Amino acid sequence: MKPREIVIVSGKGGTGKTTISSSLCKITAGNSVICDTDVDAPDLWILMEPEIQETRSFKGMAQAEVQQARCVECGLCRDFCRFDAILMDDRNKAFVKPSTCEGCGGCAFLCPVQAIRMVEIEQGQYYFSNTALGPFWHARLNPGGENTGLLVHLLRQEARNTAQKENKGLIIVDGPPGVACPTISSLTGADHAIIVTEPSVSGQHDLMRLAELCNQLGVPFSIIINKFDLSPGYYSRIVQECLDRSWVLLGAIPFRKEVVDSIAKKKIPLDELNPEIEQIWGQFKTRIHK
Amino acid sequence: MSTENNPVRIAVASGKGGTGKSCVSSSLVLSRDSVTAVDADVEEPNLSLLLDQTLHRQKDVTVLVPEIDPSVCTRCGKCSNYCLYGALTQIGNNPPLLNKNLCHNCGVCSMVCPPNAITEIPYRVGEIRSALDKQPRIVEGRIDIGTVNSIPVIKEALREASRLGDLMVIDCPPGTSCPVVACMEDADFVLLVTEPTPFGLSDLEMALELATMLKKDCGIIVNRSDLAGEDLHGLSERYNAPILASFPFSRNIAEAYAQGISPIKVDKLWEKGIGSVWEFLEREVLS
Repeated sequence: MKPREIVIVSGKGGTGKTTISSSLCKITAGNSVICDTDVDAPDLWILMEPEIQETRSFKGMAQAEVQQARCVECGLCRDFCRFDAILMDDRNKAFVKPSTCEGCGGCAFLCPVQAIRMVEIEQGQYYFSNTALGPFWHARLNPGGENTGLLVHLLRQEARNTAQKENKGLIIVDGPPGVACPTISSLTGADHAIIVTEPSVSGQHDLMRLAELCNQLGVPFSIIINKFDLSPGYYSRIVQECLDRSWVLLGAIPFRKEVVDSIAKKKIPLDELNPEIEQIWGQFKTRIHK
Repeated sequence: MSTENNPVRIAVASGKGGTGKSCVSSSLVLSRDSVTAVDADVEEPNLSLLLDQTLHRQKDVTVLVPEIDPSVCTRCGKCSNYCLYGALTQIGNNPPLLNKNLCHNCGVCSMVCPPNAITEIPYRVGEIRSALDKQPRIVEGRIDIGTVNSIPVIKEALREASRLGDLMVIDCPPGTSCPVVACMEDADFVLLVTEPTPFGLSDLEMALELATMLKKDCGIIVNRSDLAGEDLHGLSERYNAPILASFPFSRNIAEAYAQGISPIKVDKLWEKGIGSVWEFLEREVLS
């Protein structure tokens, strides 16, 4: 059976993706594979007590490297580079600015003396871990790392393989904020997105953009409003928005200091999010995950 | 260090999302004259909502993508071979097809095409919006939904804002990957906003590593400082990043924020704390 992949996303950061993902992992423990695709600010591992079984190097795209002894100072590479990744040093020799090169290879092609080659460099690492709640794929991109989309793609592929091998019906993906590269890579081809929003003018604004992205990618989604009591006004606006657009609202969770306290102790705040989170999961099962 | 076309840049970043970057940015901008606010969180830009400014579309941001003239194309396959992003696919005896989402706009395909069948045409990936006629001035980058690469829009927003010549306060996206690099690399100082939770601490350390790698001086602002007890002093010392202000959690601020009101307008502690951040910046960065 093909495992069902559910991605938890938010648009806006800090609305409670990881808090809610971790609780869903606990509710579905034993039946799910866990995956964290927020690779440049990964936090789910903090609550999961992972025992790392396997560490792999993530290389991403190769980057240009100048062998300065061969450089003839012509500047062709610098002039061609669209990413401003090549500069000339005080001796007028070309050098590559780390973290700006996108690895297109144009400079290496152009260089009249073959002074530039493309080299693979490690952009981060990804891990397969055992946890009390199930197998867990996670990663850590080096600060300033590139190719987040590619790393996300790899993690999801591994999580699907593990789910198939271990016969798990669910994959729970703790996604990144935003609507660009890593989010698109996290959502593309997923079975369902759960959008965690919060009742604020920013939360509503970001929700609308993320919903548009899900529609564009053809990924069905449903919504959780977290910390709903922090603004009754925006809570009702978002509820109205869901009604007007026939979006599935799975439920709402109030702000509780106990949730933060639990995370401070590195414990999954399932009890603290209850009864709402179990009701939300019940809604999900009856309305979506039939 | 500031010149007319190269104003001082203060980047407000965080690693973890939702720690209060926009609260800090808006408060900084609202408490000093002659500052340009830059919303570089182009995926989810909402700084203008906290500055009570109505933005107007200023310009489109476009990138160059290849267009292949089928009557000139010899189907040699060189462009798709050289495209390392897999954006050009040639099937059978048809001219290569372009997947715009994979294209990095590098220009390699048109450079290598033997018969020059490829021209590059502009393709819209987002827009710059701004409000420039009243204070505080703001320049916002906003990607179109479906755009994968946010960097061109970030760079254009920074370019537009720097032309105004005033000190720039840059509201960065969350995370520590390439979009944050684009915001931080020309910054004169980096303010990292965090919260004292295990998540905040872990992401702060990644952001500090990034700032160190880029050789940036930084300071830390602790938000919701009383909500969880992680001690940030160790990190602060290790990375030589002073803690410049701490703000406790307040339902009042959370409610104001929800409605788009910046904390500095409703809370004396923010007024005082942000004031001391400016004093620090005046002394260490602007003088």
